[in-house]
Amino acid sequence: MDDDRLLLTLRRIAEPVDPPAAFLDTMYEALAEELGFRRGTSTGAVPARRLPAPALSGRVRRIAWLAAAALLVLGIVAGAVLIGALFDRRPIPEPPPFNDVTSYRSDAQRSGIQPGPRPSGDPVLIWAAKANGPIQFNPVLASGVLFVGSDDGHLYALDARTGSQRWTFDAGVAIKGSAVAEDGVVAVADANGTLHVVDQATGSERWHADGVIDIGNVAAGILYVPGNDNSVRGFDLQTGADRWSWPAPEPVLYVTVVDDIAYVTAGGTLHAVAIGDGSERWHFQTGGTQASLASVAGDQVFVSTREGPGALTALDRASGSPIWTFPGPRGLIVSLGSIQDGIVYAPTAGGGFLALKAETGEWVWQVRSPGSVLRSTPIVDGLVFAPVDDPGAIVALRASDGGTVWRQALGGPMQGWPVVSGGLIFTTDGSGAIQAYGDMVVAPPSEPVTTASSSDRAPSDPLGEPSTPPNPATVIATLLPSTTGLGHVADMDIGPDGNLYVVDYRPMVSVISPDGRLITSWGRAGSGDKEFNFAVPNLDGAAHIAVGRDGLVYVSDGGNRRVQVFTPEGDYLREFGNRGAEVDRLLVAWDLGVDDDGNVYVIDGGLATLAKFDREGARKWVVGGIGSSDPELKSSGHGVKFDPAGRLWIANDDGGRLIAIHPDGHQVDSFGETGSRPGQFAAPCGLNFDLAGNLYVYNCVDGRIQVFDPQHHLIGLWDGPVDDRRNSFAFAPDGRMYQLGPDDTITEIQIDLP
Amino acid sequence: MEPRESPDRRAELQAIFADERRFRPWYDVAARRVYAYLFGRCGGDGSLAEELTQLTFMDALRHRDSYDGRADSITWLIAIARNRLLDHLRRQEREERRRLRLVVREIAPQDAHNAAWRTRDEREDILQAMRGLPATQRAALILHHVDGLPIRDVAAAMGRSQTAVESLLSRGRERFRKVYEEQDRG
Repeated sequence: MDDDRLLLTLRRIAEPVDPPAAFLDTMYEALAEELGFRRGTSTGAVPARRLPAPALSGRVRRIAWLAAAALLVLGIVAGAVLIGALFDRRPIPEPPPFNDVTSYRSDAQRSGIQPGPRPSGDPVLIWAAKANGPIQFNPVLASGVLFVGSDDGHLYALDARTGSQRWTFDAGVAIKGSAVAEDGVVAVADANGTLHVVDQATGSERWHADGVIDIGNVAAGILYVPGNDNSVRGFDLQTGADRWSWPAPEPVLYVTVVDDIAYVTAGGTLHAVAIGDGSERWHFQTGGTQASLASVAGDQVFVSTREGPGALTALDRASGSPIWTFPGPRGLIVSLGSIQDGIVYAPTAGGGFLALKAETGEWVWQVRSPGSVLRSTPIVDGLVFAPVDDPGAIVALRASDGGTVWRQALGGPMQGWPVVSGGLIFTTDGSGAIQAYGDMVVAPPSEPVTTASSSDRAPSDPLGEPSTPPNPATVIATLLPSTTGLGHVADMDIGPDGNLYVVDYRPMVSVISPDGRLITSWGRAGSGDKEFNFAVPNLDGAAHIAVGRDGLVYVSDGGNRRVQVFTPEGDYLREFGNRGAEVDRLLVAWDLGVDDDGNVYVIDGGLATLAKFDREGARKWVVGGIGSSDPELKSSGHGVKFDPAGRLWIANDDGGRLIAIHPDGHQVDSFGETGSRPGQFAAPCGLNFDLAGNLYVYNCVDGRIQVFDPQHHLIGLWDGPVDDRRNSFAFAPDGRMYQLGPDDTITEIQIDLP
Repeated sequence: MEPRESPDRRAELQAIFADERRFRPWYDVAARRVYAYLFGRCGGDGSLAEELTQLTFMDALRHRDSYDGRADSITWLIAIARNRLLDHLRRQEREERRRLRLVVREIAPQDAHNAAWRTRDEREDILQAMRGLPATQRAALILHHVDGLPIRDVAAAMGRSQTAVESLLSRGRERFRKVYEEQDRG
């Protein structure tokens, strides 16, 4: 195909095509409403896929605005996934099955153990819907249908796989609290104290009863609920007939029935009541004015305070005698998130997250993050899912050690608990958003990435034999943001003092000791001294840092078109790059490095140039960019680092080349080619040298790090997660490597090369 | 000559947004034009084209006061749509970097509209070849070869140097040619 035909072919993508009529009609209705041509007024927000108005209202059912404004970014990523999906024509794997989650905290024991399955990796948004009011409700799931109540007065039944609506039930007033979905019905309570029992398949009401404030659980076909007259009541689930009641001395908050004993929370006291004869077996005063829903595990019962001084207590199930009490940190409320295999997972309101031995109350682990957690935290296949506030997010913690596996930001704090099933996580929040997150469904890669085949040889292997060098990296420790105080990390370097200097998008510079403690930090948004603007359009931000041999700290302040210089303690010294004629100024200060003489080399992210500034900030030379005679320097590079000979190295990610530049500005060496085989580069975007002069290169596309000796022979290789932050790493004076990682962690790595 | 602001056009658009009897015929034309612009540039993904069309109109409604009448209102809408498309491609590029090793499932278009397109093999081959390009190469080809923007403007829109855009165009053309011809042979 010659060029002319190619261009004609390309232009055919612009051939007109008509949109679907249904889409035009739907969008028209939404725009007409936004413009005030319909009932209701403009909210000023992009309409989400609002759940249709209740059928009884007579309004036209409106379908499908596909993304909420708060979910726009994730929605677009999901769109990208859809487009990317069309690359591959292999069979679609079967989605994971849905297992039922029929009540709040999963079961009568209120263990919080959900059957899952959960997503296997970092989840992405699969679908989103929005109710017409806040959601302060603990959803349940049965037969692949998610049931969610809203302050808009409706109970919504949604297809859990797609988010499409099966039916709505109109209660007239807000539906809050908990629910059960068993034996073909869903039971919910509304804000007027009416219990509604609704057919799971159709949404029609089977029966209702008044005087009920929340939902308990079902045992032997009887639905137990807290009544609003200081009583616990039991109804036949199918008919609504009264079956049981017990008068409590105080207002009843919660009830759960296990093995014919009702554990009734009334005010700050937990009562154990025999279902058979209504006799009280024991009661326990928690010390608070309100106590929690009880959980039962083995021969223990667990209860915590919800008002008053924080405490979580384990009781003997037979006698109600306290076995141990764990006071909330600093008096804060500590609650019971879930229990599994003898471990109690206990979130707190601002005091971190704890794992305690159920038998003794001893600590197993504690993490100060992820934030304030007051709702139940289900556990699924080794992960604890914690809804956190400030800002709203859901965090997956490893049950074994509390390590953060991933964190998913939400539009706001969750007001109910998350449900995990079918490979999806369902979240709700106070804005009315209902979201499902899950894995992109993946098939095995068509080619192994790390195993060389006979036709897949490393360039460094002269015999042509398959050659994948050993993995020299051993992770020694992970420095957590709970001790480093880091957030939104962008870049790091190590000073001659051995401390880690990290710049982030808050924006801030932090100095971290090698053992992960925050020593000092400085910076805020602005354009003055010690102020930064890292928000650079089209570059997804620009925040880079380098520390000189003299300990001075250089920070690229991309949006302010300058480099600021600080003492190791954070005192402002000077700035450069923003002086002189316009042609001499930086457009976007980006990656940078400092040589042993204090000269600073700065990549301009806007001009794709590399410029050298002397100690006084005077520009000495500039190379690359538009009009460069060197094709390898025409596009922007990454990683301004120096080898033992004092040559500056940068990585050209577009060309898959590593380029060495003499301090006088001339290119003196280069090597590499684009590819995914060992020794090749897939968008190299980070590099550094160890103390022996070996070169480490990070591939942005596949997350691989490769190690080359000074003769460019590949001598080490390891793979890791693809994460933009991992392109930032440095070597401490003791030879250990520190690398930024996901969730604002820093990984300490021991390197053992042959 | 630079187009000049037109108070008449501004007033006309404000009037359209204020009166449903005027809005409906304008919408019938404008929505089809915007969708048609986006459909092929989205690689034939009807759902994505719908989503970006919706976002384009919502942008237009929100920012209607910024319309200065230099171009007619539909040209103005197309410019908004182009920005929305570029936003999408930028995010897709980032996602590609993270996800290149994943092979994601096929999500086949379900509606009859897309099914009709599948029967048009040549056009589908073109769209499929387009989908096979990295997001940055696709953006450069669309802006330069399809939309006819000069390289200087493409560079400004993409936040790249002109040299980088030329490189993207060169590689994009080669890759498109290779994929398209392989389909042709297949």
